Amino acid sequence: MINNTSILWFILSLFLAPLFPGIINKVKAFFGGKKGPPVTQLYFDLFKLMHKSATYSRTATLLTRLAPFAIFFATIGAGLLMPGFFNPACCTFSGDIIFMAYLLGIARFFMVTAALDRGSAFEGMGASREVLYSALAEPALFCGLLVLIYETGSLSISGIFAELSPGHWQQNPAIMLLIAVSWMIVLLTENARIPVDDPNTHLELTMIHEVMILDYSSKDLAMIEYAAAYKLWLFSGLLVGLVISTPAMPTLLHFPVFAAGMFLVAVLIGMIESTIARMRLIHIPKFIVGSGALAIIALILKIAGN
Amino acid sequence: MQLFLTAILIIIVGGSFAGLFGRMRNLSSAIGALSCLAGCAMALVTVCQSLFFASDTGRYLLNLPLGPATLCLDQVSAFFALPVILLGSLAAIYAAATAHYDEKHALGSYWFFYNLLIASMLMLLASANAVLFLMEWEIMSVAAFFLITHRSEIGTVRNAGWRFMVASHIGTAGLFILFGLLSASAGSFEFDQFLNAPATYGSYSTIFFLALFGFGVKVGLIPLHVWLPDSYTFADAHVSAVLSGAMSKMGFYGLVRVMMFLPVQQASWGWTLLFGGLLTGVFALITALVQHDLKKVIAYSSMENAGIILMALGCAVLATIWKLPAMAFAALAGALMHILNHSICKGLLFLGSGAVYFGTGTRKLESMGGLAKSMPFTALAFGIGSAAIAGLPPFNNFVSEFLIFLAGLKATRLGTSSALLLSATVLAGLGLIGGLAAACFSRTFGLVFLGAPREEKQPPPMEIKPLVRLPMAILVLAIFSVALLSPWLLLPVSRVVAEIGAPAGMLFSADDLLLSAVPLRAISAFSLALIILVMLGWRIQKSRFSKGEVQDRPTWDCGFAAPNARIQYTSSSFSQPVSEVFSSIVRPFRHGEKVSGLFPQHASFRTEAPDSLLRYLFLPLFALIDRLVVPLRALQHGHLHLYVGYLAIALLALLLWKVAVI
Repeated sequence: MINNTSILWFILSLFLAPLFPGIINKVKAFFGGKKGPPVTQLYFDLFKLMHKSATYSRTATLLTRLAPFAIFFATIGAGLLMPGFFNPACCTFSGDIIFMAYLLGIARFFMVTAALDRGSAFEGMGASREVLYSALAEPALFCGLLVLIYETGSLSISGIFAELSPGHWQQNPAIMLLIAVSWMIVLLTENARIPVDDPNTHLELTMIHEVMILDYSSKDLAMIEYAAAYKLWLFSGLLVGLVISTPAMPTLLHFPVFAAGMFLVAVLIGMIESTIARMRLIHIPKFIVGSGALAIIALILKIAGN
Repeated sequence: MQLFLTAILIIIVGGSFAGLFGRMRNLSSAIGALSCLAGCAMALVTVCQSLFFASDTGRYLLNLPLGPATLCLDQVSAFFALPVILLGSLAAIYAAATAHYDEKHALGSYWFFYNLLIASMLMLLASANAVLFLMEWEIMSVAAFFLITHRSEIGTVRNAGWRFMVASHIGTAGLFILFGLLSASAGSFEFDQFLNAPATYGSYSTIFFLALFGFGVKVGLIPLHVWLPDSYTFADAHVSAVLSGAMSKMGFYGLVRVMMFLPVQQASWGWTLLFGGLLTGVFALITALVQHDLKKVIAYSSMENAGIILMALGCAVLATIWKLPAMAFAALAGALMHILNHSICKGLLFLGSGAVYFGTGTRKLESMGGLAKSMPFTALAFGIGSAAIAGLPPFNNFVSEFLIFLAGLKATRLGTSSALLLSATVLAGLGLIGGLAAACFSRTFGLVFLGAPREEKQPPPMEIKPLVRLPMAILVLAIFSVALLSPWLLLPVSRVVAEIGAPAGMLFSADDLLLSAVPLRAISAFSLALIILVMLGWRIQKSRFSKGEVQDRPTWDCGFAAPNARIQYTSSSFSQPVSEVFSSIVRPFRHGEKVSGLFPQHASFRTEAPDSLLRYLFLPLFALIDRLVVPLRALQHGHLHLYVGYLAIALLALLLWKVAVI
């Protein structure tokens, strides 16, 4: 089921993904009263990293060298399953979002084991947190998904987004809002954003994602950074697809509306990061379980509404 | 069928000869392993005939004192024979190749019971008669007991063995009642007669729950699992592999077989299986995450996978009731594939844990680390096994878990509240289990093989011999074959599914197969592409872009100039957040000194978490029973003539009862 528009959307997403952290940082700089780095900063960083040569720890094994490729390709592979705006994904089948989540899971497995590979005190710390928080976030993602599957009657993510309409928001505003909030929390958790993790912190003790890649350099780091940006793009895409659901729209408008939606998500993340402080680590599991609870409430509302 | 029975005979005879020549260690190992291999190869021929060519393998009548007993191998039995044959033969190679690591213990009895275990499982699968089934079930348990207690001079091993024996007999007691009810209703011991027999004695529900209890003990259904972690931990690696990969699967076989006798299924069974499986899986993983013994982690993970399989069976029951063939197909195919996949992965992990033990002489996670440098093959195999058992693509367990997810998704079609509840349980439950399993096995793999060695070992760890690697290499190959060939493997599995579904009136069409096969095709294509791209990318980087790389720097530790192995995360510290979040379930013991003063000199922290259900449910329960039955010891005085007197009194009482009451 491959069509040209889908491939076009996919390639476009590959090029645009690094823009996303740039927008977030610009928003944060704005709130901080600063000028901030240019929106395209990550492109420059990636370009710079690609031209450096790598340094490896003497403790590192083959795993450290393989992991960036696994993380990179698994994340991109997940992108193939992500529908473009009103376009089916390059590859769709029943239950594809589960496969997508598990592709991100294998990327995480490599990230975590590679972190343990260097035998660093800090990287182990990040790994230990990452595995727990992501395990807790999984049910929230799937419960929200389940409600949407039930609403639309489609088992694939492309089908769900094709079926969603403003009617769903009008009929069940509470349910849709609960899912949106729950998925927003999942997004913040999975992508190591404030209030779960601070991508810009200077204290390694408090980090989760950044601390796991302390030992990476050059092309390896570029691949991991890119994969992180792309993962953020994927989750934001889910959120945009959920919220903006107007079926009758001229094809020409698809991209501008989608871009505006993505921009708004980035701004929202930036605003959250600027206005909320990072949580204490012991409170994070409650925060994530809370998102699962929201999704479950949405589900119960749906069941009760039957 | 003759071939299959000959195979069983060869295994038993070989085991007996190996037992006779126990003094000559090499000869004993050679006879034991070769006869097991030969027998397994012959049995595989029959199994393949039945599975892949769907040919009837015939029947064989055995004359027992209680009447003739049928031996036959239908597709369901043949499918369940696969893990037995696979692990039975590979573990035999492994055992023979590692026999020289332990010169202290006699080999004769070991091989005898090993071959007896494998033979009894094959015989169990072939027996279509309740008496024969129970006999084989009992032989299997006893053989397993002697294998577990092989090192009986160690107290913990004896304890584990006794716990296994007690649990297994409590379960068997349930099975005796179960088959008693079934054969009383059918008027025969033959399985053929059980089919569609009216439930004269005991309702269908009684029979189902007795089966769930009796077979649940073997598979490790919560809370009947308390024997499982210790037995798997203290047995030798290859024995654990067979116990977890093959023997626990016999529990599922029994459950499926009994459910095939019952023409009507009830929703309460499905929900019990579903939630029982979910609780088993989550509890097992949370407990596994706080263990410090390598084999105990793997043992608890067996329980987790049993939970997943039970959930799938629950979905299948409910789908049958709701008349959703596509969902029932996905659930049953997922359960069967998961049974096979789990055997492959668990065999690999247990054999790998044995290799680690031979290399380092310990099972303690706290004192390992950095083994990937000294044991690269074991590290690679164990790493693949870890990612696979965590249910991640591109490995095999993901395929079966995906099918179960798919079954959960398909329930939404029905649109009722209970269907939605089922979907939510499957999706959220399996999602949580998957996440925790990934946590558990990235921790295990990381602590054992990665980083720097936490303790200096004398002599330094050595890689295992090539012959010991062979079984592990075959299992790695099996992982990739199942993962990449899954859409095609679904065809033979679909025939087994059809046979399981038929008695309950579930008929599957080709469409149901296709609905499950289409996503699997995409997944196997993705998996293949992922493997190729990662390997290709790494090769290109290595050959083209590795100029100027620096390979010998210390690990960056945020400016700390002298990092050493002691600053690494340990098993306690890695699982600290988990034990904190789930402390009400695992109830860990914390040991450690408070850090005080400006320059604290001594500080330590350690957590321990023995099975909480054992501590809070079974130990108090058995202590109570102990107190109640101690007075009865007065009757057990050792005088034989009085025991004969008891017999006479009992007979007299029965006679009186017969005369007076009936």
